[in-house]
Amino acid sequence: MADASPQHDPALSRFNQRCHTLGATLWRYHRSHGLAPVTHDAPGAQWLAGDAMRVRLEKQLDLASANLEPIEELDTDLFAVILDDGQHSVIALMLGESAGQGAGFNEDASAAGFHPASVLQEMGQVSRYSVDQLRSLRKTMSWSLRDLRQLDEQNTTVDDLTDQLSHSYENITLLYRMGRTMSNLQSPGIITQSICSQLRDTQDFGWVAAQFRHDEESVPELDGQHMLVGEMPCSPEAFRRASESLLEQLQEDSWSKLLQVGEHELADLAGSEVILDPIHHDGRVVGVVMAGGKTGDDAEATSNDTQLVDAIASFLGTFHENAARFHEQRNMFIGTLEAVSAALDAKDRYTRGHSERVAYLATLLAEAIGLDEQEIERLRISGLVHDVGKIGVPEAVLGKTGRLTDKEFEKIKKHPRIGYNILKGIPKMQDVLDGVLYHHERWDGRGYPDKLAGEAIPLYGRILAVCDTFDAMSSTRSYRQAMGREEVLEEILRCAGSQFDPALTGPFVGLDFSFYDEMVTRHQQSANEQGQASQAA
Amino acid sequence: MKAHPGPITLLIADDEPHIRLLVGAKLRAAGFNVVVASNGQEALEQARTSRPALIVTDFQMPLLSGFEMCQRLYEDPDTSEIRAIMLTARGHKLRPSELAKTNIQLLMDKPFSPRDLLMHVYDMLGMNPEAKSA
Repeated sequence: MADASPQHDPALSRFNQRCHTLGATLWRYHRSHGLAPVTHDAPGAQWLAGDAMRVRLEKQLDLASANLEPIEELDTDLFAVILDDGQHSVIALMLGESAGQGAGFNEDASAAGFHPASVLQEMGQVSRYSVDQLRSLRKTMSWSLRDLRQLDEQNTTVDDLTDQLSHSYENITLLYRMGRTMSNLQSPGIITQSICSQLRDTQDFGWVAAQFRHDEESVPELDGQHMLVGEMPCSPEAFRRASESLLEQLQEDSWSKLLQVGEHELADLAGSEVILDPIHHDGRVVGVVMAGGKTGDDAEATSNDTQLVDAIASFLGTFHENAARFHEQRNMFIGTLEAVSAALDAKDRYTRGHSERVAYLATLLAEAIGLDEQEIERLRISGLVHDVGKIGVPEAVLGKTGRLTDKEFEKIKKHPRIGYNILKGIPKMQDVLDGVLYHHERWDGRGYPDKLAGEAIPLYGRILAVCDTFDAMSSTRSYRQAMGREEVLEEILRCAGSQFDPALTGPFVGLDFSFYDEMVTRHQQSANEQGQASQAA
Repeated sequence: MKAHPGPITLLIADDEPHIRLLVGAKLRAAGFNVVVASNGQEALEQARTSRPALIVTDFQMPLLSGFEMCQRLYEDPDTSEIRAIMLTARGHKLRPSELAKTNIQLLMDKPFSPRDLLMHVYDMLGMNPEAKSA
């Protein structure tokens, strides 16, 4: 590079070392920095790289001229070899064959203020050359310098490419991770947060934020949410308000933007340029991704930054749509189950709302014993459908007011297996089958249908068994009156280790039944209304 | 305060919206009048009507590539003077013999820093960025 500063020219430094072994002292000429020795440690440097020599070179060589002689004879025994490195900016001082022998050298050294004998002693090792040898050497040295410079340039290119490559790798990793997370629709809030965080790390943004508006099709985890990853120079509340009002403006003009400080409130708050891209859902703007506060050498947004923010906004749009559809489907699925189980329970006024209450109690108990969200959800579904097999039991048996005969009881005992058989063909129900099949097993092994005992009974079955029995005892049935709360809980505790898993009864009696009691009241009212309606008809 | 370098018009041709956004914002912020095109054909027509001082164009674009667009402008005596900076992904290096058929003065690799691009624009227009803010 023609403009490389003399202080930083690694190729020249390496070349200088080689020249020492040839007995050459290097000077460098730069249009604005002037003439300077490359180093001061060459043999004979106190003279050949000294100030007196600089004055002499400046006087004798027309440095600014493009037509410098390749080899200038400064004196009978001292030559300035102008290296052909494409710039004529490096001068090698080399001694002639007779250096130190004639009067010229002694006079020169004395005139420069050195004792000729001591200079000669120091320069004893320095090679001396004929003019012909210097011509050949000049060519070789020039080639060498050019090669070293080219090598440096190539190294720089390799470094640049390595940087770009590692950056591209980070970009690809980010996009790959986004692709993978796309399928995880259970927790859209966490996923969005994590994508913002990854974008921030990959591109050296100070912060990345996402703002969603209230939208009827949005999922609760994203609806109206504001997410910020990183540090903001302003208060988070001020930023939140600014991004909400920005999102409203985007309803009119839904293009990507680059906000500049001094031109937009949000950029002023952030104290930096802000890249923003709207998030679209079915053609509507439902949110916006914002990124700013770039750190590093170049604090301005690059084309790579805008491209990634754009990619992430469109990814979040698709993700938002998928999450909303997933949410809608799940609601519809559960809604259908609720309708089916409610219809079933409604066949008998005494069991009205039973499945819904058992499902609710199961989630409470699951939460109390520390199961995760996914298991709680499965238990809820399992509770909703646990009695679906009663479809296959004659109504005369189900609604019978007196004591059941053994034959009738055998029919009742079939309902877990019937329910299991109905549901086992539905792919989404695989995880809840245990609860349906085993909710009448007993801890002591005297239950049905398989007479399993202890921990051989799947957990869902053990949980539903407690909840099912509790609800049955707490409500009036065709064959008996409801028992009081105290009495029911005592009975549950009494049956720990015989009918119930003893690890579950303690947590169960500790539950808060207030919402359960509201459910009971609601279900009774609707049963009474229906009873009155059918009497009137 | 931003100085206004007069009514200097620049054309940005790129099919990627984020590039038009970024380059457009930077050049407008520097006081230039910016027109945009999202494909080569549109850029060709825009260049003929707007007569920009300089074109910043992508290489690969729908309908007509940035290279063909520059080639056609160069072949037409009316527009042969319009110079261009071409943004290319690495690996789309053009040979000097190809560049000679156009008025493309500079190739820049994508991704790029808009600051570098602005410096090159000033340079090609013979403007001094330091004096600009005076």
